[in-house]
Amino acid sequence: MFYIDTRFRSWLRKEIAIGHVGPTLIVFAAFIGLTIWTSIAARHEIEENQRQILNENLKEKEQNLKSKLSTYEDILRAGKGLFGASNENEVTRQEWKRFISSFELSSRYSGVQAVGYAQAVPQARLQSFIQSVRSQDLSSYSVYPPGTRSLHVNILYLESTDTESNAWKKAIGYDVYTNEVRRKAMDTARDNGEPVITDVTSPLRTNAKNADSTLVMYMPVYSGGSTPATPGERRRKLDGFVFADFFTNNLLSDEEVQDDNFGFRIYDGDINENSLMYQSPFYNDVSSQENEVTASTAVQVKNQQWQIVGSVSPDVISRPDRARPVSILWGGALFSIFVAGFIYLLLLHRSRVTFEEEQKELQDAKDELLALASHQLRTPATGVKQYIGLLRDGYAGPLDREQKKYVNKAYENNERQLATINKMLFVARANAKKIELNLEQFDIKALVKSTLDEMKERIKENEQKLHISLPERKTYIVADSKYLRMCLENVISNASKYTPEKGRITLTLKKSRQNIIIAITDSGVGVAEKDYPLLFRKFSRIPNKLTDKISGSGIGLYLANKVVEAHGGTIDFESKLGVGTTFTIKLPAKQKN
Amino acid sequence: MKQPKKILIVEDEKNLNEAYQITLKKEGFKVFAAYDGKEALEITKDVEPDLILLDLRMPKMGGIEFLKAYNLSRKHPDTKVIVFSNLDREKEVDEAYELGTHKYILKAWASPKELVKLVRDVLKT
Repeated sequence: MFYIDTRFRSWLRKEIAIGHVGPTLIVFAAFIGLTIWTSIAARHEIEENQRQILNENLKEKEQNLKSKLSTYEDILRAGKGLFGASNENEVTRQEWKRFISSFELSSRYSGVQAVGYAQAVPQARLQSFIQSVRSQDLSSYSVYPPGTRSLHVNILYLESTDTESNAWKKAIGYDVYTNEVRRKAMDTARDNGEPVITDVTSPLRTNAKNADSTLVMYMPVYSGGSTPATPGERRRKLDGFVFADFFTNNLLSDEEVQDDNFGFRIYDGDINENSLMYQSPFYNDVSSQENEVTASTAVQVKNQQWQIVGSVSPDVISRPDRARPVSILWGGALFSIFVAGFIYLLLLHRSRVTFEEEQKELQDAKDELLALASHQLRTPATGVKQYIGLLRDGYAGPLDREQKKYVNKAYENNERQLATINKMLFVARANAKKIELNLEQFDIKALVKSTLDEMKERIKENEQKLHISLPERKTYIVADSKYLRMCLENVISNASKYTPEKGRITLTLKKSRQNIIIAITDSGVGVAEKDYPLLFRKFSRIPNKLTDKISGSGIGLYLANKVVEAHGGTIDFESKLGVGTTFTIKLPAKQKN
Repeated sequence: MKQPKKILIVEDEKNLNEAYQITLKKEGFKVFAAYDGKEALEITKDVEPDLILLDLRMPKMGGIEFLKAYNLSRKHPDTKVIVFSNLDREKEVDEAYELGTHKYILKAWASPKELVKLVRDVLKT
C-alpha cells in the first residue's frame, strides 16, 4: 500500500511540501503546543501546592514567634510584678535569682539568653546607688562606662541560661543606656508604659561570637508598681527595666525548623542582606534547589515589624505528582508524534489512492484513444490488403518479376502495418482486460509450421539460419489459434530482429504430459540482467547495438506474454549478453474452464 | 457444366465489399452483394445463395439480426454462412454460431487467396 515507485515519487515530490508535510506539521505543532501548555499548567499547579504548603507553614511560624515573644513578655511582666509586689520596689539579688530560676529558663524558654533588671539612676544619685549596692550584696559592684550623663541605666541583676555564666558576670554594672539601640527601645518602653523590643544589637556577654545577634525586650518598672497615666509621669516615676535578652539565632527553635524541606529567614524590617536576623539551618540548601518556592509574611511583634521568608523544596510534593509535568511532556510528545505520523500516513494513503485513480483514468483515456485510432486505421489497411492481394494473387493478370517484387513488398509492409494496428488494439484491450479467447482444438505443430513459413522470407533476408525441431505426430492443443499465432510471430520476429546477420534461430516444439513447450533460441545480442524487468513491459525497448537499426513498437513481447498468460501458461527466458536468448513458452495442452 | 455456386456478400465497407466481389467473380462464382442486413434480406427473397459471407457489424441491420430473420437452420438448411469478425471477438460470434454459422474469418487476416480457400472448403462440407 505504501510502495513508492518512481512515478509516484516524482509526483509526490511536487505535492509533498504543501499537501502532506504542511498539515502534518500543523497537527504536530498543535498537539505539541497543547502538551506544553498542559505541562506548564501542571507545573504551575505543583508550584501553587508548594506555595500553599509554605504559606500554611509560615503562618504557623508567625504564630509560634508571636506566642514565643508573648511568653517572654509574660516573664517580664512577672518580673515587673515582683518589683511591684515588694516593699518600695526592693527586690534583693537573691530574690531575683530564686524568682528567675523558678522559670527553669533553659528547659522551658530556650530562646532566652538572660533575664535581668537594670536600675534607672539619675546622675545625682549615681554614687549613692553604687554605695548602696556594694554595701548590700555585691562588694565589687561598679558601673561602666564612666562618664557624666543625665541618666544611667545600670544592670543590677542578671541571670543567664548560658552555660558559660561567667561571660555574663561582667555585664552587671553595665550602663545599657549608653547603647544607642537599647536606649531607643527603653525610651519608647518608658514613655508608652509597654514592653518594647530593640532592633538587633550586640550581646552583653563577652567573647560573643556574633556582633549583631541579640534582641532585647524591655519592660518598664515604675515606682509604686502601676503604670502612670502620662508619659511625663512615666519619666519621673521610672524605676528601671526588667529585660530579657534573646539571640536572633533562637527566634525559631530547632524543633520548629527540623524539616529539611523548609528553610526560613527572618528579617528586621525590609528584606535585604543587612537586616537579616535569623536563618534556619536548611535555608541555603532549600533555597538553592531548582523549583523551590519562596514566600514571605510580615510579622508585627510589639513595636517591631519583621519579615519571615520561607523557602520550600519541591520534595514536599509527592514524587508522582512532581513527575507529572515531565510525564505529560514525554507522553504528549510521543502522542503528538503518533498523531502526526498517523495523519501523515493517512494523507500519503489518500494521495496514493488519488494518484492511482488519476493514473487509471489517464490510462483508460489512453486506451480508449488507442482503440479508437486503431479501429479507424484498420479498415483502410484491410482494404489495401485486399487490393494488393488481388494483384499479388494474379487476379488482375500475371505479373513480371519486377512487378511481383514490388507488389510483394507493398503487401508485406501492409501486413506489418496491420499487425501493428492489431497489436495496439490488443494492448488497449488487454489493459481493460477485455481479451476473450476463442478456444478450439487444433494442431499446434501445423500452426507453428505455417507461422514459420510466413516468416521465412524475412529470416532469409537477414541471412539467418532457421533450425526447426518438431514432433513427428500431430500435437493437439486447446487454445485460441489466432492469438497464439500472433504470439509466436512476435517472439520469432523478436529473435530475428535482435540477431545479427548470419546468426541462427532455433525453434523446438515439444509435448510433455500436460503442457506444450515451445522454445525459441537466437544467437543474438542477449539481454543484460539489469534489463530483465523491462523485457515484457509495454513500450519498452532495451537499447543495444541493434535497437537503433530496428523498428518496433516495443509491445511484441508484452503482447506475447499477455496471450500466454491468458491461456494460463508462462513465458520464461534465459539470456547471456553477446551470446543469445532463449524464450520458453509453456502452455497447458488443455484448458480448464 | 456445373452451375456456378452463388455467394452473397454482406459487408458495409464498400471497398472491402467490392474487393471480395472481384476476387470471387474471378474465381467463377456468382456473386451478389448487400451493404447491410436489410438489403441482404431483400436479395434473399429472390435468391437462394449457397454461401453467405456475413459481416457482423453493420448499420441499419447487423449480421445477428439478419441471421435471426433469415432463419438459417429451419428455412435454408443448405446455405452455408461464413461470418466476418475482428480480433476483438465479441460474444456475437458465439451467437452467430448458435444461429447456424459454419466458420468465422478475421477480416484483417484474410488475403484473397485465403478467402477463396476458405470458401471452397466450406462449400465442400
